[in-house]
Amino acid sequence: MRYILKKLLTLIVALLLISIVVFLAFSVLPADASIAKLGQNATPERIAALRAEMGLDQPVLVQYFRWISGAVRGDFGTSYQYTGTRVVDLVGGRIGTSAVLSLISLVMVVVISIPVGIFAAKRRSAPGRAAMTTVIHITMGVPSFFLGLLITYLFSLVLRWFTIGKYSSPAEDLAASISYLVFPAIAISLPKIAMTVKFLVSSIRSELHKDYVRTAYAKGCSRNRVFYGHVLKNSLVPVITFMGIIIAEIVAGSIVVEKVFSVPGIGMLLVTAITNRDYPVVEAVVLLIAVVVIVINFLVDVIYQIIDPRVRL
Amino acid sequence: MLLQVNDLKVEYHTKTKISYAVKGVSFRMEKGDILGIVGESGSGKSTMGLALMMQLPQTARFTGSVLFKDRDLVPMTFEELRKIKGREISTVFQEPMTSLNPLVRVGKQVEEILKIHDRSLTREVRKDKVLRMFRNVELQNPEEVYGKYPHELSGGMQQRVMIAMALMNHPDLLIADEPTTALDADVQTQILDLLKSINERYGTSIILISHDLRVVRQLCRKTLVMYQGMIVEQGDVEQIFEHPQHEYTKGLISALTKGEKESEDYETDAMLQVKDLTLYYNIKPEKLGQHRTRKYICRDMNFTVHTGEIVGLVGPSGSGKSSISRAILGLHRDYTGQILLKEPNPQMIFQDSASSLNPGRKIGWILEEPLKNLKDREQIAHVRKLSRVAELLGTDPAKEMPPDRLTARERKAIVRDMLTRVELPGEFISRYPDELSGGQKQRVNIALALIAGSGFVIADEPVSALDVTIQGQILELLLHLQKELNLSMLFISHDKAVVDRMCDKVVQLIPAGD
Repeated sequence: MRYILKKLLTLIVALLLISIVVFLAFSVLPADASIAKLGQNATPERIAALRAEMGLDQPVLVQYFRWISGAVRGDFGTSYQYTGTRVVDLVGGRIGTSAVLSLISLVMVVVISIPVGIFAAKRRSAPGRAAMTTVIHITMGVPSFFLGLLITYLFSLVLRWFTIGKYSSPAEDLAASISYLVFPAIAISLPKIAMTVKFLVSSIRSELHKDYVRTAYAKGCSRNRVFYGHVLKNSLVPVITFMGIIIAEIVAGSIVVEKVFSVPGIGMLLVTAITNRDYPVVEAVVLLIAVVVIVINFLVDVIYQIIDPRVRL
Repeated sequence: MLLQVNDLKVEYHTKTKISYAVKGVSFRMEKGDILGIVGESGSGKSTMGLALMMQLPQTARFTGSVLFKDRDLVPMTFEELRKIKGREISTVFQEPMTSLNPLVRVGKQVEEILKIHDRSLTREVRKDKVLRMFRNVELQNPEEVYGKYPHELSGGMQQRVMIAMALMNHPDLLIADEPTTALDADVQTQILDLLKSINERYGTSIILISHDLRVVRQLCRKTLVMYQGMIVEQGDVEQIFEHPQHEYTKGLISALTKGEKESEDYETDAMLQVKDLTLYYNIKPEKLGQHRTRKYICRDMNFTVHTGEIVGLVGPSGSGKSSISRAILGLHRDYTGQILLKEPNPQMIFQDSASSLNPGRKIGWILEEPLKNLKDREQIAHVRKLSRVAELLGTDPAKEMPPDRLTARERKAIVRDMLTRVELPGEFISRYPDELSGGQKQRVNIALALIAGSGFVIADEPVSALDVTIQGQILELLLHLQKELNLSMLFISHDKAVVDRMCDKVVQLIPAGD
């Protein structure tokens, strides 16, 4: 319990630091939001008036506290681009889509890579290993957006299994939404599956050479009992930590892939907001992604701690 | 007749060569016997052990017969053997920590051996049997131990758990492969006593595989001595001890009983002075807001190592032997008191001969590396003089040698010279560490410590991981080099016999209380 509390405390500190970094990053940018809103040719008087209206003329510290106290209450201000629309509504309307997309990707990674990893680790023959390594390395090396293009071409244009752009949000029609999101999820998860398989295989292989495996055989365990009863669980322990990294990459990877598949999620919102210097939106989305990644890594730590008695404190 | 081994041969087939590990061994064993198998590593004793447990790696081919209760184990399938392993033949391994699954409570692990061989037992019955066996192997608080993970137990307790596990199905034969090698001396004795009482109580036959004749003598009545894959001598242990027949056995026994080194008087000044040294480490607060506390490793140490002297540092594990050497090298900074060292470039030789040698580099490269980093002119001149570089290369020191660095040619000559000093052939320059035996690697480590002309060496259990005969050779070499180069040495060991042989004086460490 004390371990978890301690982790929780560092989590909160990390979140605060990130919020400061995110805020400062945008406040030191040379082109400030008033110019973005009014354009390069605006008169200095108009800019000054707008800056005062937006609170941009106040000290950075005051601006930060106003922003963070709003953020805690869920108020990120209004978008510059869609005047009058609250940032929360913009983000809230798309968060479901992105969450479903990330979730499908994660489930794919877990459900596919564990059996494939077990199958691959059991290959003993040299050609079998070589073939496996080749496939894994090729898959790992292909960037998600390129995979996305291939998938769009194959499944949408050639096979016509889905129509690009004809997306319905999970709130409207969950089944239809999932059947569309499966394709971007493949693009996101395929390289991650390859990485996880590679990681799991090497973890299993190194476990197989440990002394306790010899003990298990000496006890009279069958091969399956040794593998599934002893080796597999121990091999999965480091994979849990690895999943923390993979999840962060899935969240990050979806930003570009959403654009490729024109899925109206957080990623797409972020890309558009950056091009339009819509700072309140950018800040909110970056903060949101950071929070998700940190919280997930906190959960991974806690799970790890429950599974491996050696790190229990 | 419990076990009869006839002409057992084991070969390891690799891509490039076939090596013969056991070359036709025959022996027999009656029920209730305790049989020792002694030999250094590479003698084939461990391969024999693995063959008897039918746990040889897949690269091994074996012929001959192993008749266990009149059934030949050699032609048996995996499934047939599986029913014998853990039920009729059980095993205790050298490293209890790694031999247990780190993620499973030890009680469950011991229970598994019952579950595999008898599915009819209920959970309650199994647990009850495990607890009873824990009591039989003299584990305190069996209930508590049952729920512990391996890392929460001491080495001795882990080995008791392993023994309990091996005995759960009351096997006819227990094979113990170096069961006490990884344990402290007093725990060793306890475990050996336990094995003896098990033999008496249950009539379990025991095969004890060990490199240590003393351990075998303590437990066994009969023993085999193995050398280069063959049995060179067998019979009554005491008989072999008193009247060894084979040259190899004679060597083994005389290595054990080498006399102590006589102290000499030293008038020279001090190489290392340790004054009122108290070592501690800081413990991080467990609760928020709590202050840091200091945990003391040892208190108020005073000793001096004079130039050309070997000082032994002995004490139980946890008494700060290694921490003191780390402090001397400047790696442990939490101390009070004074450490005065004259040698600017102290070196260390560790127990694990492999860990300090980069496996991806050849020996020549490894030995050259410290020479490349030499900057100090005095030091360079010293190294040149020590290795007689001018003589070896036929150059004139005043003219041709740059004073601020060693040329590649000189470095090569120094490396060759150093290899000769540690009695290794010159062609080792192009070998990789993996191609060397443990003793040879330790020789390379000694060369590595001395090559940059250091006059002070800390040897941290330099021979503990080696076989007795090799131990003798390495100690001999260290003594020889120490005389030749007038080295000062701090010699850390838990082995009283080794320290007596090596050291001019001994510093006894006592663990500090809180």
